[in-house]
Amino acid sequence: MIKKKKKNFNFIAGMILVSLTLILLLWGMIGTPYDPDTMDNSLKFTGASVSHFMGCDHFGRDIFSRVLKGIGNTFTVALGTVFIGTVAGIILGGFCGYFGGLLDEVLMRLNDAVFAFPSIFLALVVICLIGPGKYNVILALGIAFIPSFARIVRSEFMKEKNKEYVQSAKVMGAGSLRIMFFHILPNAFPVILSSVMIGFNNAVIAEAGLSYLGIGVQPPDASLGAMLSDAQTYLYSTPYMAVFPGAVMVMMILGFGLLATGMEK
Amino acid sequence: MKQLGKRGITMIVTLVVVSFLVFLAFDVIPGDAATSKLGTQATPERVEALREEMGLNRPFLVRYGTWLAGFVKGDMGTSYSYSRPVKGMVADKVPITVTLMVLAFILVVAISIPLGIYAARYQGRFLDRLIGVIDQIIMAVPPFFSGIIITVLFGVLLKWFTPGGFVSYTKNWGAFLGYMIFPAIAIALPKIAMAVKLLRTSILEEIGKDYVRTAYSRGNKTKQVLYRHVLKNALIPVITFLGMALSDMVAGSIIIEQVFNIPGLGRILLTSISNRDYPVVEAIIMLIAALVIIVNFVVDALYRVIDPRMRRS
Repeated sequence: MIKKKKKNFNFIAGMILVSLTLILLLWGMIGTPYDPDTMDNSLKFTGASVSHFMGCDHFGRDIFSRVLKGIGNTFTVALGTVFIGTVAGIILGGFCGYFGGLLDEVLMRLNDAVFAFPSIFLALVVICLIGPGKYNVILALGIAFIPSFARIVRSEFMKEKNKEYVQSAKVMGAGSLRIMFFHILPNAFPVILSSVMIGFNNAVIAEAGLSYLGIGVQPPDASLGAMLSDAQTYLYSTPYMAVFPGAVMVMMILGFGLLATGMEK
Repeated sequence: MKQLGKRGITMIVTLVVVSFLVFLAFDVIPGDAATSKLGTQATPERVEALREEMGLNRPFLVRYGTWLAGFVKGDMGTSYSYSRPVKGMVADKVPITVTLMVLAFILVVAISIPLGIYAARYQGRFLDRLIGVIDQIIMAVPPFFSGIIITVLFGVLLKWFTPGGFVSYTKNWGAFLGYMIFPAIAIALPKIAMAVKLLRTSILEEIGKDYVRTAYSRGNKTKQVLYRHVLKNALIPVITFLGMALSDMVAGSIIIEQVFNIPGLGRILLTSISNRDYPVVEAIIMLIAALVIIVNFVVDALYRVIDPRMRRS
């Protein structure tokens, strides 16, 4: 029923958008056209021009430079989040899936209880406990992302552990840890990779949301979410302030989303 | 029924586990409620007296028990920063957030199911593809950004509502709903996109199965097959998704309430977080937790109604 043998449009479009995002990220790392934090009163609310092609914000800061730096911060947070979530998820899910038993039962019940909560809500609770800030957001979101990763890894491990290659590895005398991380993990890799991509996207959205609320990346440090929050105050007079940070964010999320869909096929 | 009872018990156990974790989490963090209430200038004797008065000197489990017992009876404790009962602060905010949820949920169901059926039925045609492309893009727009776009479009340009001009439901129900529909759209949009995509895939998967061919061979028309046979099966994963979406939308509403300047649960949660007003935070977390867990329970019960296979196993 579903047409096969179609050009993988999703993958190509995703690749283009992701490359574009990565170019902007690198650009921001090498050097922004202007200092993203320097305020200039004479440039307040100036629209797009040749020298500032995205215009300037309410402090006269170059929006393009801030967008570049914001992408960097968003990437740092999203990568950190996914890293914590994946590593902890693989360890937790791996042990639970491979050994099963009482430990699995208890941990998964707990996991279910935590999993019921939306990740951004969990992150809010953790932030309430440890305080706001860029690195705390990484920790908070990372913790919030563990249950979903653990669940996916666990089900993969449960599926793989009964396969023949695991049996033969056991016969050859490989230890449990070796089987788990050198035999099963590489086989579970495709599934883990696709959930990492989706997790990355969710992390980008969550980070932007938290920064929008003012509890993520702290000003004057640039963040796409915080830029949108600033822009909202001036929606009547200067709506362009919201356009660029928002568009870049959408481009980033769309790119990774398309890439993930494209890779599934 | 027996299964459902079992699930009910699990639900209550989960709620108790969550409440314990929440209470524990706010208990181990540094910073004493009595000290923060009196300020750093207070004498140790006064702090000690207040600790005694607030019951902070009792053992952990006793405090947890008292707190939980109070909560069950509807007493949610007293706010540190306002010295008012939390219940009074929260009670009139609940209808606002719940209205937002209900509106958004109705939008998701009312829009995504017809669109999903349409896209699957006319698979591969122009409109189906267009829906597919728009879907992908909408999924990539975070709700608070679509909220800003909606504000600009409908508030600033078309002037269909006044941005920031929230009217409380106690004053005027009509104006309240008229304002709430816009944030509800912002929350619903990405969920609509996901539900459409899911329903389309799910219908296309079911259409390939044997029972559909049998239904056709008995002389049923396409419409009958689609609505009487296929849809029943195809809706199952969508219901799972809708349950998850509902709890996700609760979290989304915390942010959207800021975008549209709505004084709901989200607003009070955020101020309480920055004020470190833990009783309020705990109460709101427990309320949302209860909501999420009950929604999951209802989804589970709904399954059994729709899918007889679940009742047997």
